[in-house]
Amino acid sequence: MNENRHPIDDLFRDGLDQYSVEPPMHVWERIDQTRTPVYKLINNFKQNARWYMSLAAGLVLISSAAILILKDGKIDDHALSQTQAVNEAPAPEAPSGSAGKSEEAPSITDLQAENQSFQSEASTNQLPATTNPFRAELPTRASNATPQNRASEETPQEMAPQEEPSKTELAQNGTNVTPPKEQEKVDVPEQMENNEQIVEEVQGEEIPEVTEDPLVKSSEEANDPQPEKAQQPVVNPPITPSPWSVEILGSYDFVNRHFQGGNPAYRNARNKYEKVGAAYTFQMRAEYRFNRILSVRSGLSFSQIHENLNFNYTSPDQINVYQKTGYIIDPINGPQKITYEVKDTMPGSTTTFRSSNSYTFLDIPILLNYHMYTTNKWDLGLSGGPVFNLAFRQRGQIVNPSVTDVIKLNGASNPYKGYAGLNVMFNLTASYKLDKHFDLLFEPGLRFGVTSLTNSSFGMTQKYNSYNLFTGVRYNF
Amino acid sequence: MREEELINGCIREDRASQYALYKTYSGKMLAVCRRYARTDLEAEDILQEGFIKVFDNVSKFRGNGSFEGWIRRIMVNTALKLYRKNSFKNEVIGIDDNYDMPQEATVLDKLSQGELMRMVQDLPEGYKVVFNLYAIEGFSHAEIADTLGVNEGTSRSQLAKARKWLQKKVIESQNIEYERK
Repeated sequence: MNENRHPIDDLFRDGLDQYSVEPPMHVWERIDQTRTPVYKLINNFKQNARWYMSLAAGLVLISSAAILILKDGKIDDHALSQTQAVNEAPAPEAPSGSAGKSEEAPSITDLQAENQSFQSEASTNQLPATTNPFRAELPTRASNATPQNRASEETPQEMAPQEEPSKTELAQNGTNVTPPKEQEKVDVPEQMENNEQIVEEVQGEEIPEVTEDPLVKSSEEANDPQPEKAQQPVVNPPITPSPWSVEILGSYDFVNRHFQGGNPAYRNARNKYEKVGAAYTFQMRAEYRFNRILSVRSGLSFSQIHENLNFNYTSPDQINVYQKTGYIIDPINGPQKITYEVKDTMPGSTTTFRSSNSYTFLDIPILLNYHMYTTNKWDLGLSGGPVFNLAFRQRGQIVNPSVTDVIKLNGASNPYKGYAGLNVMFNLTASYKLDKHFDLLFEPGLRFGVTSLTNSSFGMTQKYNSYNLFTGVRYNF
Repeated sequence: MREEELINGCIREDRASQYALYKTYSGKMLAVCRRYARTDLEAEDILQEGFIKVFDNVSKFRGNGSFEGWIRRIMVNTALKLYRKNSFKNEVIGIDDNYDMPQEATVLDKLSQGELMRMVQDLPEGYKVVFNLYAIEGFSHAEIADTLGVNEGTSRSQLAKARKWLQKKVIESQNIEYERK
């Protein structure tokens, strides 16, 4: 390299190698701010924001999957509760002449114990196994709901009185089966009469249509002689819908930007050279309905606001004054050394700055929803609550406070925070039921910025208020 | 405070030591940053980011070279990172070959540091970075090519053009005096 040295290189190297310029004090102040633990924490969050966002998205997916799985479990639980309701229904008292073992209705614990015992026997007898043990349990319980049934297969002589169909069943089925004469003697007419009375009373009322019960079906299929239990008029509780639903919404936003504090000339310049453009929001929320009128919603909200910078700056003419040394020829005294000033005027130049800026927010809204008006198809509600910011990112350039240059938003002079703080949101939600699961959503709303987006040292606060018009769908579990 | 004490204080994240270190080197480093930056504000940004890196990584300084050289290298790397990020297009300007003449040291010595700095700052972006790296930082063309992701030939060409451009400016500066006379 040395062989290629040039006098110009030497001149500038020697002249500038030890050159020093005193930096302004605010540079150290900004450096000092970054040494605080809070700043380091925020900076660490900024650097790992993608991981956190991925984690949040993963949690939402897992939660959604869990809700779907729980939904299936809920159906099974319901069927099980129906089965238990039948099993726990008061059984008619056993005939007085029957064996002592069957005088009292077995408890549910006994039934389950017997059921397990029977299942183990069934498995040893190579009965067809069902892959879902939860579902397999239901027909097993139904067809073998009582120990008497099991006993009837093993010791029919003991269970003969229990296998006798009651008059109630006969009356209901309309089957003319003549009971054995022995049973006519053994069965107590009082009990039968009571049962008939019950049946009449029940038939007299408007009995809700009994849903297809796997227990009853199984009993019929298995020709299970358990008429007393299978034919009890059990009124199933209505199947309540899940309180959970998920919503996906999108909105084109009309944004209003507010500045406060600072130099009015600077505020005017910002408004003049930076114009708010398109803005939109996407939300993915879960809703939990406490009761008919109250629900809570929360999830992730992604918003982006675009602005366009178009700024022309014309610098003033630059006048450089140099001290020069020269000689003048004095006719009397000869050459005289003098020092004089030279003014070098550089005309001002116009610089154009153009930039497409974007402000991106990742938020968690927590909204309480009041359902004001509900019909079979429509639901109208008012919701409101805080919106907590997870991350706030900026891109582009803004005019600098002296209105002579721009500040790059990806540089160290970026006046915006990495965390946008708190917003408040109010929505009017109208939903239209499309089918059993899906609702169409229309949701106009307002969102107000509470905390400033700029650092306190910037001297001027900046907030956004937006008017949203969400449309989306809701899936009810 | 001795340099070793300053370094140890900065490793302990002692604010007084950090400030003392900043006061010691910030002037020279701002001059370095200004040679690479387009504007003074950008130079301050580079200085700020560079000193944050210095404080974050001061424990990694092994003492193999001078501490000032280590800090200067961080500043230059920070400036180059910004340069690559902004990916300035190298401006093509007309250079008259008549200006490619050797200058006498006696004439050149008369220029002040401020004038020299202004000339370097006025260099077109592509020329500026190559000239700074080669003439002042002492990089070879191979290192410059590797750092900037350009060919060695491009680096040589940019350097030659930078020299011509600076010569022109130096001569213009001298001519002002001649015209006065």
